[in-house]
Amino acid sequence: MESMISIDIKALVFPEEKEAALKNIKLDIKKGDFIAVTGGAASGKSLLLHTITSAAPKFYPCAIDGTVRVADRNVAEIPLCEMADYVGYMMQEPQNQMISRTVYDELAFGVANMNLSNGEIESRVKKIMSFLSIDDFAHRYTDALSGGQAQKVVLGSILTLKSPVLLLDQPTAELDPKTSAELYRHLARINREKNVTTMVVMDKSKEVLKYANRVVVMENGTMKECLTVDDYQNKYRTDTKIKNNLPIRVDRETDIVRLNGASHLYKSGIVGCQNIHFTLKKGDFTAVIGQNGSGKSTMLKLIEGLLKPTEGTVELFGTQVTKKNISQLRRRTGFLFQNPDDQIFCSSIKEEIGYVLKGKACEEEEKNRKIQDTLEFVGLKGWDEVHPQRLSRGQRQLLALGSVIINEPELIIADEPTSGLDEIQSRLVLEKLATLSAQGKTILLVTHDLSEAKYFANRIVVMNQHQLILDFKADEMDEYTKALVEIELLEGEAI
Amino acid sequence: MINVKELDPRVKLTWCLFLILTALVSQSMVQNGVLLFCIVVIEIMTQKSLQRLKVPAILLLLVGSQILIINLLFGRAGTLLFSWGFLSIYSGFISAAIMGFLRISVISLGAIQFACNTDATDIAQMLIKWHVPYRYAMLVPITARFFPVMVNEYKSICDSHSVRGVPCDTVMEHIKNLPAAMLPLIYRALRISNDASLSIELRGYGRYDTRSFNKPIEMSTFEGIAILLIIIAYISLLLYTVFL
Repeated sequence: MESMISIDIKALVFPEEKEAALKNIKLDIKKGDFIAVTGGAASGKSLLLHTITSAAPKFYPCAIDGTVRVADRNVAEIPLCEMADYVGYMMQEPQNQMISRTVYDELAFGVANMNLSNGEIESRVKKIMSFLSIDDFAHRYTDALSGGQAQKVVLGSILTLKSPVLLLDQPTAELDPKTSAELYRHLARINREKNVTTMVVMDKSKEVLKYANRVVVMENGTMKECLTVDDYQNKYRTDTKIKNNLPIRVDRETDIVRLNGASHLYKSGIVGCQNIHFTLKKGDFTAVIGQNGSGKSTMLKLIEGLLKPTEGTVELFGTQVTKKNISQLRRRTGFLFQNPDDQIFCSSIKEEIGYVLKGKACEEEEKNRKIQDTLEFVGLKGWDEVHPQRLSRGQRQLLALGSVIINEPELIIADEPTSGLDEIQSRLVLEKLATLSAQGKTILLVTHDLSEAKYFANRIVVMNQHQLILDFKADEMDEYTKALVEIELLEGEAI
Repeated sequence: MINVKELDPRVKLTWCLFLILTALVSQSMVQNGVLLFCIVVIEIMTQKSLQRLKVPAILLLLVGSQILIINLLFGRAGTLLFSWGFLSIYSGFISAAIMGFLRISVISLGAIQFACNTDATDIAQMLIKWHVPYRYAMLVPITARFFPVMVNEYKSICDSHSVRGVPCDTVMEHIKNLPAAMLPLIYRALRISNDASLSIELRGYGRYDTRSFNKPIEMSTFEGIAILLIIIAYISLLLYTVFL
């Protein structure tokens, strides 16, 4: 079969770095291959894709000893703006890549740069919209799209270019299981029907393995091995799900959170959530699941007082949340955001962890002890003076967790804390939450990963179309498979 | 009825410049009042309400009150009404303040109306027609696209600060919290601009000297005449102001 991508890299070194970021990679990808790339944090997965697009070294300056060839051409000789003839590249965060105001303009952006006639542009855009089933929102604003819609639009804007190779970096990291499965089905169709060579950096859902024919395993900047999917699954089998083996003790008498018919309507008229009746008992470890845009985050923001209910009331620790008492109530809660970078603003890890202790009436020695204890808990002891942005995303999430728990909150709310993290990093974050739960903290976790909900929480609530529709014990999840399939949260398979 | 949004951006720019230059040149309160009236009429014609001008109007009233105080304290037009120590109040302070307020209102509301009624891609096309390389001209719609994205980023940063006990509700709290919010915001802005520039480069941005546009701008005879009439009106007003 015809070779499409040929990589032979002895070393790729960034300026002022001693260690090579990529080394000893020899890989030959045939036309029509569907390759899944996997590996731990900072193993060089994204960088490998950057070398194929030639963004490294043209966009990210570095020295490469070796060659990368696409369709039998050395990418070093192709200007970056001509790479669209060879590869289409989709990065992790779709909102960062859309640069037009409307969906139609975004889909037409690449082909318009090719200086094609308006008739040809329209024909290509319409075909892609129909292929991805996005005809309905051609004139919508790109900043009003949901995560799944945005992913499809970015994919569409690349497909209009008709590149023979498609590179995707964790395309479903922030999507719910149904949207994620749908996107992979589209990719498989493109691969099959248009014979487009596809390379996908795999996220922890492993959905891509259903369609891939080979798996490249990266480790410390080198290609550890390239296996068939069967061999990979046999070798890296993870049948034993990571479980929360620590006890969860629930005090049925004490309410920590109570939502009494709470609703929130955004100023734009969009419904956030509707008529939510929900009680969280002391010590509960509750997981909230639901599709993208089902109202999970809005519900958390109502609880935390970041949004006011337009109807109904919110009670925290037995007290109705008002503008006057929210600051006091927040001292007893900790909120972990999906993106740790929203939360981190100090210039050292120690300063970040100790931020909430500023101005608190407690001895300097006591403050230092608390900081050191927290650093130890989140596994960052000895990193006191390191700048937070030098940490990996998983470590930054742990740092954010540390900055929350140092305040000893009774309730910890975590909004998709494992999204964008690999399996190992996710496990670290979840294990810390499980430890805190065993210490008696009440945990409210929003997640897209149903196995996280099943194996770490004791209770699961399901949101659908802005309403809370199911509430059951986590170990009874299998009994609710049919209901989850009906609301399209699952695709007819057990977890 | 003319759809203002569909007009060629060059007509809208000429009208906007006419408003601004006339407001700067004109010494007549009536003329400035007429210009402000025109802005209001256009707003009602295009939007069927004045909602879009509500926030700028509040800000202009605040600025207007400052203009009034400055003119009260430092204005020297008209006859002396009152004097005490260093403080002297002259009779012309109210008319000078109204004139200043009208000028600032016409300039700012005229510019806002132009920005709101002109598609950023049309501005880019206008710049390309003026031989600005499209790589630079396209920065206008790209900036317009990322403005709401950055506003949302700032809001999410403020939310995360609020939950850590840094209040971010009032204007003063926002100002106080700005240094802490700036670091993550700059970091996010850099990452977004990095991703966006790589993404557009890999979609052929800058490959040719020009690019296609979904709705190319084309000036009609009517629009050409409109531009000519606006220029004639401005020159007439200028001559009237200078010589009469």
